[in-house]
Amino acid sequence: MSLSLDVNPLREGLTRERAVDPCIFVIFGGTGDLAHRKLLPALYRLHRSDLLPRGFAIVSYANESLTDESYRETVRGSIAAAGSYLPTTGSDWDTFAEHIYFVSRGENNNSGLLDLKNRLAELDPRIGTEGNYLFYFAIPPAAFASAARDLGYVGLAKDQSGHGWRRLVVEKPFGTDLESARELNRVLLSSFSEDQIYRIDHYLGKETVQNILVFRFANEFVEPLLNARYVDSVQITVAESIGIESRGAFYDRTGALRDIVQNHVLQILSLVCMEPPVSLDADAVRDEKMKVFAGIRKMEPHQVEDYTVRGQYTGGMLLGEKARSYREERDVDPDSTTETFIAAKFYVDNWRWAGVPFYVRTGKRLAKRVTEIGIQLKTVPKILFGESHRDEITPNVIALNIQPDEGISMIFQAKVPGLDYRIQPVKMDFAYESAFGESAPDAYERLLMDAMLGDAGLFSRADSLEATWEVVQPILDGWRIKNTSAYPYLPGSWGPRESSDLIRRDGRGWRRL
Amino acid sequence: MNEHKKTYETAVSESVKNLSSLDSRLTALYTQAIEQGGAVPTSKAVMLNLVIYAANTELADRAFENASQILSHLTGRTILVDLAAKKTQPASVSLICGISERGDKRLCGEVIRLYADGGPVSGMTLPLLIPNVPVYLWVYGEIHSEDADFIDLLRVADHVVVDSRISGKTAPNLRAIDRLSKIDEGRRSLRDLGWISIQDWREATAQHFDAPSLRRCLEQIAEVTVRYSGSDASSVPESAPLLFASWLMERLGIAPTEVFHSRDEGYRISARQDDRPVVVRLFPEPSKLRTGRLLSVTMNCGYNGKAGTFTTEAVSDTQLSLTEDCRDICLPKKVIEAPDIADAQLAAIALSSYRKDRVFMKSIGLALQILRQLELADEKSTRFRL
Repeated sequence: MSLSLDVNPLREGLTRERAVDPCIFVIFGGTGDLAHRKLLPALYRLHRSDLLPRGFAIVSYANESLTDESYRETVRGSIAAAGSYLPTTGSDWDTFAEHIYFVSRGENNNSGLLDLKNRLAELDPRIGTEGNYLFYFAIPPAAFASAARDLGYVGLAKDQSGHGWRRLVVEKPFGTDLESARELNRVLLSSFSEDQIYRIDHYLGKETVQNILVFRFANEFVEPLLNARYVDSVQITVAESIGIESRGAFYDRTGALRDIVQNHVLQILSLVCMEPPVSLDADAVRDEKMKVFAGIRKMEPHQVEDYTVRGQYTGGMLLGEKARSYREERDVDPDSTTETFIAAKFYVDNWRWAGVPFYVRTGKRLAKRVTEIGIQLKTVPKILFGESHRDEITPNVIALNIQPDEGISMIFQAKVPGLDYRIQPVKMDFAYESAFGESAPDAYERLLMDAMLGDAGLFSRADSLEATWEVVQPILDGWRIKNTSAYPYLPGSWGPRESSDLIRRDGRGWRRL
Repeated sequence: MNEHKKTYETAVSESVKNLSSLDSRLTALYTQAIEQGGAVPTSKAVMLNLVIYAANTELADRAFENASQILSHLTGRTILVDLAAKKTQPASVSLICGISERGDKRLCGEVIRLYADGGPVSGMTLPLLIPNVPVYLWVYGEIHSEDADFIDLLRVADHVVVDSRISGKTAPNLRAIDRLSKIDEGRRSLRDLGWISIQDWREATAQHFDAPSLRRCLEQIAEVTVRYSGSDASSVPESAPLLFASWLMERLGIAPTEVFHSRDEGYRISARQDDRPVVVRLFPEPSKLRTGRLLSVTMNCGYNGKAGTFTTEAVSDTQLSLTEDCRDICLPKKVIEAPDIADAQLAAIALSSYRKDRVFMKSIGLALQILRQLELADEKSTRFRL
């Protein structure tokens, strides 16, 4: 028998059937907020779970002038702040810290890049990483293009020996409109090939988002229902109770449509709508998602005000505390018209979903933090129990709860005990935590692992990313042409009244969450 | 390896005079637990039925302790069949609760202990199973695969948990596991605590070859040496080292051809990988560790025209080190945590998976081949002596 050594044959049947190749994880912007709050704690948790390879290093590349040792101390501080249960002393920390290195970009970017290249060349044979480097752009989006070009210029985008792999992870926002997204793709693709680029949307790393595929395609009873014949409408809610916090400068240029709808909401919508992929291969899944994006009806500028509602939170009281208005937030223009809330109605014009409205709403300072997909089925064609019961029978709902109480609920009708037919809706809940008793891994842990493993299934491909901008761009254009205002709403509410009007015009209402 | 460290924090129990009153007694216990829980809400979630089959009361007591430790993690109903116990009451019920990881819920599971007094147990057990959730049968102790009452219980199980580690009974135990796996055309999955206990070693050994260039070694194996805690090599090796060696051989396409053993040299398995000879040695060594526990694994091979040695070694009670001689590629030495895992944690891992472990079944098959060859060698040497 000849062994196939493309994968490690000893891993079959183990908890981890695939393992990360020895590699160096290079963080551009290693002193920034994203690196300290998300990436380094996630890498540390992976280290503690023994999921990182033996040959492994983290090299941070940033403007500051730090030594390896002083950088490790800053990482220790941020990890202590990220979660008190992560130890920052003892053997776990020591073995993690010794994998961390720092290279300063310094005053001259070119010499900084050469320093980085030399450091990688020095580490590579010492820890056996065989030319495998992952570059993570935790830098401002405006710097993505030049950083990618620089990596190509100094020869780090491709392994010259041809044995190792090079990957690039890019954080959202990926462009600010269709044109800028296309331009960024063009620049990245001039240094890296598409299969090297991992465009991250951390929502896709959430366990419950991934469970949408399991719920749909591992349960025979679900899939026959999910089409225009049985589904009345779908609601996707991504609500935050907090305001914009310290992201004023970024948020004021961005708004809820670009920040949440263009990526998180459309990704969720695609998972709900897509046809079964032929496999779980990255491209098989992404091909099906791409078809959904292509099928979303593009709004004409004159339709935008009928299909969308913009909102902006005002000042007021929230849970007994005074909450400032959006325009009073730090780094926000006092006359800003940026939307902190959007409600919209989409249609997916394909055979399966023709005529089914998808209502989405997302915003800041709403009544509660909740992300939910509510799939409302049609009512039964005939009320068997007499017309007087029509009001008692409410439509069935399948609710997929993404956060904070991850799980699935179903609402159906049941007979109230008694001698006559009284009917009442009841709710059946599946709660992840009660069922499995353990918390899901952090989304970044999953996504960093996948990027290191070379599994791009949870990352956006260039064409699908541009396709999401093709959905969003007409809305941006319509708002600009019509000078659409953002309606005010109170903190702790579910957005402006006009949002209720949007759905009420169709004879429906927002789900009470 | 996953750890299930959760501890149970509420255990209320009482005897039951009549099995038909079990449900009302359990309801009363839940009410009691909710009252004790104070501000933390108490939830009942049923993920599984766990039937534990214990041949005597001592085993049943240990099984109860183990079930208590895992029930607050894997909530469900446990039916502990105490085969030998003589009690005036037919059963007792207990409620075991634990706080969830987030700390915002108390999750409870229930244990019904049946005192069988040597009588048939399937008739008492089957009506108590909660419908529509999987049934796990945990055979606590030796496997009674010939017993009709046991087979009746087995037939309702979706998954079976066994333990191959009964010292001195490697051959009958592995054969019994193999027989169990074939009942009803192998429709149920089998989990072996002995197999799970060497998962860290398998993981550590696999880690040597995660680097693609080092993986070439796996098709050029010359010698494998497995050292384990044990006193002598007089009859049959303990199940853990035997299963480990079988796993490695099965994964790497190494077929045993002959087996020898002696007190001084341990067990020597002559084998072939493709057309090349391979030697696999199992050495028992005196150690303060539990009998059968692995001490080191060394693999010698040729790759890229050179020889390589890859070693996984227990450097303390709780740690393994991974080293190799540095040739083309030097991976840093690595130490991983691999404590001897308690039975409750092993069982929790066994109960967390629904998957059939095909690699385990193939490894058992290869272990049985080795045992058969060992018996042949013993028969030959007996004939020679006669």
